[in-house]
Amino acid sequence: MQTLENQNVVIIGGTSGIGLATAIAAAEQGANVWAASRSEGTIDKAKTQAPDSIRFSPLDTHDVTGLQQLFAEIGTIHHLVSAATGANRTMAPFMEQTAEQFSEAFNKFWGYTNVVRAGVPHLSADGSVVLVSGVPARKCNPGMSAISCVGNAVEGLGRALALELAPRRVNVVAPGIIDTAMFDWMGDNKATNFIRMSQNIPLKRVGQANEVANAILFVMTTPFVTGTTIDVDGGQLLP
Amino acid sequence: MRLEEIPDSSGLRDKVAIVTGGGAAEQGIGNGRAAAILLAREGARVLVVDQHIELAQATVEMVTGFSGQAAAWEADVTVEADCRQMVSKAVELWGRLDVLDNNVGIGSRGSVVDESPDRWQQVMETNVTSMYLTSKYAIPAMQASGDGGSIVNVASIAALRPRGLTAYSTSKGAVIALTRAMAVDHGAAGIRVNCVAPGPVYTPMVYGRGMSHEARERRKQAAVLNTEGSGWDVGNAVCFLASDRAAYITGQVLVVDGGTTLRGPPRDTS
Repeated sequence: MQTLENQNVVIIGGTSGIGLATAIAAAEQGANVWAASRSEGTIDKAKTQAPDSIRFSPLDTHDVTGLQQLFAEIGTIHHLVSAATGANRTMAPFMEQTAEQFSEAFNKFWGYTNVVRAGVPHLSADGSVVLVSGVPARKCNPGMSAISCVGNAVEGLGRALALELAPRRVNVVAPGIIDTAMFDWMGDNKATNFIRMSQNIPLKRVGQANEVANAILFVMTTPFVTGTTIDVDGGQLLP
Repeated sequence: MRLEEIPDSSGLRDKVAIVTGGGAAEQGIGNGRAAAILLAREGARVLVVDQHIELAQATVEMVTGFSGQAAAWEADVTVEADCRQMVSKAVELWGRLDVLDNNVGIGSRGSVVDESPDRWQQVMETNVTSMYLTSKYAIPAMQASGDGGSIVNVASIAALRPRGLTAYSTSKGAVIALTRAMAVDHGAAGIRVNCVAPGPVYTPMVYGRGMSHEARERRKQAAVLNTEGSGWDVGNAVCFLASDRAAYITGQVLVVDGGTTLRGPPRDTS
């Protein structure tokens, strides 16, 4: 087990949900944490929930110069996490989407590639990259083709990079349905919807952001694990 | 500092675990011994089970060396009565059961043409039937303890990337299917079931059979990380899956192989 004590951990998409939970968990284990996202609104909110030591900055994953500047300021990166959503995706049957709508979803993936391209030159030899995909990559409902394809792209990138970036390690964490702000649009129906959505999940509940963060920290600190995808989904992929 | 003063981030403090195949030759660190030590370090009380009691006892001595709690127990996990008694013993000692880590397994080399029916049967009984039997008795005890539970089965990347160990690969494939099926069956009861699929880890079971320097180097080079793992790497993964840190993970095949499965290079160790 590697320790996170005094390690530089950078989380892109680290100001809300899974990314923020990861930032907080890493800081609690003694890491120096940088967390960035494109949404300044979430940064203000994150600052009220997170330890003061976490350095938050506004940054879009499509701003390559901004990424390069941030990474250069940090110097050496020990662990780089990309958890940003970074795209407007259309939830509709593939044949009812325009080519432009479908392509738009891949801006999340291009954001991930930007983070890796700009970050890896600063990554230490014993460092790691963690990419966040999602259960729809391997099991989805009609209307989810875009999110599924992007998730598969992320998982494929993770395996390919594990080969190319060794001895640096690259892993993927694939969350299932996680209770984050992503579902706030449900309003008062959120709790009832979660119960309904959990019926086919073996553990009969949705997950929490910190449960995904724990898996991200596990792959970060585990020296013999690379090219692996960990599903944090309550068993959603099984039945 | 005493154990009680350290924050319990894993949720394993005072939980009760059974680790089968928890012994290892001499001071060697096998997968089971490493898991037993790491679980005990998190504050769990561990029943270290082995068919050779003296090997389990050696693990217990390592645990008590750092004031962890463990007891040794002799059992043949291919025998139903032994599995029932093993679970009863854990409950009798510590009043509950929360974790089962199934390590027992044997290797076998050869294709189906080479393999004798007797050896085939022995591999299936030792590697698969044992996990069915231990789980059969552990799960009701976990349910009776009232806090759900966690089962971790040790599979192998041989199930994912076959390489001339056909009976072994088949048995480990069955371990993965068994893991997933049990995860579905017992999820509603809060019992999580996962497996770890180790790659080239250098453990007493591996070097006990004798491995040449060349074979060991070739095995290391099969990993993308260009190194071998140890029992600690497997034990650490087991400990993670057993803990509350993995509370939303079930049915998972956690590959711990330094990236060996990514490219499937020649890694025959004969």
